[in-house]
Amino acid sequence: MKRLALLMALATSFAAPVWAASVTVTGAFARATAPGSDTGVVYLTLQSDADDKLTGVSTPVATSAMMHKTTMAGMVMSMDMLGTIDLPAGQRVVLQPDQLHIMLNGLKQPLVKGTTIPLHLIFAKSPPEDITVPVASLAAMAPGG
Amino acid sequence: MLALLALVGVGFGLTTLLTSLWTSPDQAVSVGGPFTLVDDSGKTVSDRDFRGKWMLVYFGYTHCPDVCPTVLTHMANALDELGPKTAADVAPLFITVDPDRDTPAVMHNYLSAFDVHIHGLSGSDDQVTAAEAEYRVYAAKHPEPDGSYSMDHSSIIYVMNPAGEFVANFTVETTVDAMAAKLRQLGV
Repeated sequence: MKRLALLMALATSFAAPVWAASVTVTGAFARATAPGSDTGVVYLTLQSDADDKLTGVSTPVATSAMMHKTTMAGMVMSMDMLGTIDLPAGQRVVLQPDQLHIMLNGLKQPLVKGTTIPLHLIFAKSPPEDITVPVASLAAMAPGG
Repeated sequence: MLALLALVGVGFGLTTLLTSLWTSPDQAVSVGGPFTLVDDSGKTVSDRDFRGKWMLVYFGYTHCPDVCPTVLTHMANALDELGPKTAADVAPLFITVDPDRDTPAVMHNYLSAFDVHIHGLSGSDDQVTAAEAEYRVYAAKHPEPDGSYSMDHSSIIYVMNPAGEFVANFTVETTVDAMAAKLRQLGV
């Protein structure tokens, strides 16, 4: 009986493939765009179970999507594009207002609160993920805001 | 590298300036001054049109989805907190640092998304540059790999009294409550 339990435990552990890294995406939201604006923003939280990197982002609703970091030098705000975002194993990496964000340029449609947009995430090791991002208000600081 | 040094220099200069402003709030200082710009209905306006009102002056641009909406919403919420009677004595101004893209019509559409009436001011390159100089605002185009550009810019809300004099400033980190409390304390 003990041996059976051990076998079952082994079977369970093999069912979750340890060799494939995976990234969990939570708390994603986009901000609604102002009338006439073709620039949008997406925030989300990433957690990878192994060291990984976010290497690319795309969405069919925008001509380009870039990873950005907002920085303040004194009182001067600037946005810098990042080629990748490091995802250290087990660590939550939060993209949030006034810090890291995904910038959408050339929106083909306005982002309307209450709707959703698709987002494609590409990682260095983990398989790519397609997520659905809810659109919150124009100045939302969190999902549902 | 030179650009980076210049940016750091400007940032340092501003920090020094603002520190000195904070430590000597009673002294008259020369932040802010005359401007002639075009409002979001296409009408030419000057600083004199806002005399008698408190001005909350923020320089930004509409292709700024991250920081600018946050700051403008904080400003709008602080005015909400002060109540409609007090808010009527305040003129919130959003002056673009990106007049090439932010025409009066674009500004009007953008600002219609906010609950509080914010005056959107644009104008010719020269008009905007002159207003930036009066407020000691740094602004520069920052090219993006996809061919678009963002704007590096000073992110400060200037509080100007009804005589048009600088009295305080807020940043993106100032909470709505802190903003409302400071405005009350100033007698808005």
